[in-house]
Amino acid sequence: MGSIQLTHYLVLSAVLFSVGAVGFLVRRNSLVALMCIELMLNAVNLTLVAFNRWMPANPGGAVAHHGQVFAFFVIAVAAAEAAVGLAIVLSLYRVRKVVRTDDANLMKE
Amino acid sequence: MPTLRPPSTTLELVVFAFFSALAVIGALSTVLARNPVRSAVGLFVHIVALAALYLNLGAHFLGVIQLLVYAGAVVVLFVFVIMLLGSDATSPRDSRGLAWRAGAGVAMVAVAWFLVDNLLHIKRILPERSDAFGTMNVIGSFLFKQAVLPFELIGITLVIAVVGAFAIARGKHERRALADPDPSSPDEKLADRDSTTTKSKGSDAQGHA
Repeated sequence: MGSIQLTHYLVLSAVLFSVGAVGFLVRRNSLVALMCIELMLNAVNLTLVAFNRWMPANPGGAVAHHGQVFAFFVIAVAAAEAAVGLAIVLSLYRVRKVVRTDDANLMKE
Repeated sequence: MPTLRPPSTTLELVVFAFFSALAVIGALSTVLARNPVRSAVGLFVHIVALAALYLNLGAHFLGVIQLLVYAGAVVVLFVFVIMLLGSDATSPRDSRGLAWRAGAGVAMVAVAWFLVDNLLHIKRILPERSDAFGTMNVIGSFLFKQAVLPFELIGITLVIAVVGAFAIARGKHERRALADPDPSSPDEKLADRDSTTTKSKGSDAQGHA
């Protein structure tokens, strides 16, 4: 068996990202749309961590963790985004009694 | 001087194959499931698989954070909202026809192929990593030395997000109810709240719900 390559992780990440992107565009349930955003952020995180594994040290020789720390910040932002997004879903549900993104047209009327 | 690990083994490839399949299955079930609870379970499977892949990549700290924050907090938050909405969380059956669904599938494959086609040419040799790579010790010192400013900023961002989420989710209706709980007999209500603890607990829970 061959050894693992950076391409393996990047291809997996690309597949996961496109599943999330198309799911976000296709699904009309706002909860599932938020979950698809999480899928996309996770795919990007996988890319960052994989790149970090393939560049584990600076040219000087010191251990480098920029990719992992960036992924850590992305996780924090994703948590904040999920909290605010779900609050908006709840608030929309209170006004309209729906969670479909099609029905979120209050500013159009 | 930390000892160096061998760069890659067959075990790493086997772990990658298993958990990447699990991650794709989780992502697909998140997108395809009609019931949002099933979507949340799919997201959970996806997140756990990605945490395993992080461990496979030597990012131990990030694998633990992924499990704690995503599986422990974000998915639970989703499930809580689905529970709050009850049966209304399930959207009605998609009215679009087969052509639209097939088009979505083709679009997904096209996007994936466009991305993958660009990636297949990348060739990088896997470098050796030291034992310190990805451990909490080294990442912690990185976070509090080089990355201390973004670290503090992310703390502020999270506080703003929590306050904002609370303000949005409480809504106008609840705010009016809190300001003026019972217009007919406010004094009686106040006395009632002071005397009986169970009742005041109940009204508090309603106010925050």
